[in-house]
Amino acid sequence: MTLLTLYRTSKIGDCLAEALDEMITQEKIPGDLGMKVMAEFDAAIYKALEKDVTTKTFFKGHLDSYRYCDQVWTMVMSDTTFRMETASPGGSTKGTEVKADKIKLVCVDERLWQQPQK
Amino acid sequence: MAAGPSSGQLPAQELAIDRSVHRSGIVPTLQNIVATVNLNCKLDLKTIAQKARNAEYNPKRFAAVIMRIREPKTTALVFASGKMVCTGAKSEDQARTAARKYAKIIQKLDFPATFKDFKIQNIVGSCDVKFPIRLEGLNYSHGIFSSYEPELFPGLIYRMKDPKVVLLIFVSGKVVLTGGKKREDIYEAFESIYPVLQEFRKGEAAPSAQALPSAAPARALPAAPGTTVQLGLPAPQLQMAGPST
Repeated sequence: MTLLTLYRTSKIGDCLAEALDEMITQEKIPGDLGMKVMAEFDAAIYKALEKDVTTKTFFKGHLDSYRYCDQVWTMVMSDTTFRMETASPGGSTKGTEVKADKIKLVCVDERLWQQPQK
Repeated sequence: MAAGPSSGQLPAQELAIDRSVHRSGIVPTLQNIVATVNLNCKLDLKTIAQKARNAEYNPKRFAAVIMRIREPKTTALVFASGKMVCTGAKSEDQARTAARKYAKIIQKLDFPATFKDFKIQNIVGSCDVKFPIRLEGLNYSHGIFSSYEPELFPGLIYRMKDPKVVLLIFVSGKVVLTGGKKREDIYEAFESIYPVLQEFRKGEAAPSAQALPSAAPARALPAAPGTTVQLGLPAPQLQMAGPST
């Protein structure tokens, strides 16, 4: 999987793929349109994460293992707590906390992401 | 962890200090041991970085995989030539155990790694004499061995010739000893410098005056008087350079 298609395996990417598959099987849209939508999704999700997501997240946990290879950091963490702070338009902030027993964190250099798009 | 033959000395230092070795009554604590070993096979670093845990590989910056283990807490640099540097261990046994663990990790990735020419390259120790030291005076009377440039570095750098150990001596009385190949080098170096430090204890009279009555039965002579002028010897390396790849 290339960096560009990283988010296809996210929840939202999965759902989109499933919906497109259904439409293709029902012959509501042609197969190549499905491919085009997925390609559009790759660019759109990146733009959305960059521009539209204003939530600040802090997380803390125990690092079980890490790896840095091909300019990608991979970290496996346990007992991780995510604290998300959403700034609402009124100016007040709302905090939510999510706990996870085990997570895998993949960090990609933004420049690597942008290069293939040019 | 306190297993193995030579680490038997460690608990001893807490219970009773062997005064025949540690005349000063102070035992330098070993802080870091750097060892090298040859795994004797060519390695594909990318494969190692992809498969091993806790590995970093950034060939643009450094031509080795940096790997860590938690027990003993150490870091290894693994080179494509099959040579490996293991740092961070606190004892000789720990260094060997750690190096063996790294070799085993490489073996598990299907490389025919062996464990050849294990060698301890550097031992670093530190201790505290618990009295302040007049570094200017020490520098003045041991000029051939010492260099003290407080504008550059706050400690006095003392390059002892025998054992060949470099000492960093601080006003506070804290001492760092490095460059030893054996723990005895570090111990000997400290016993040689201790009377000198007592001589230059802050608040004492002129540098020629004898130090406070010491509890130590036999006071070792400083390394300086016995040795004649030995100038311009190259500085021992403070840090081990990685083996050529």
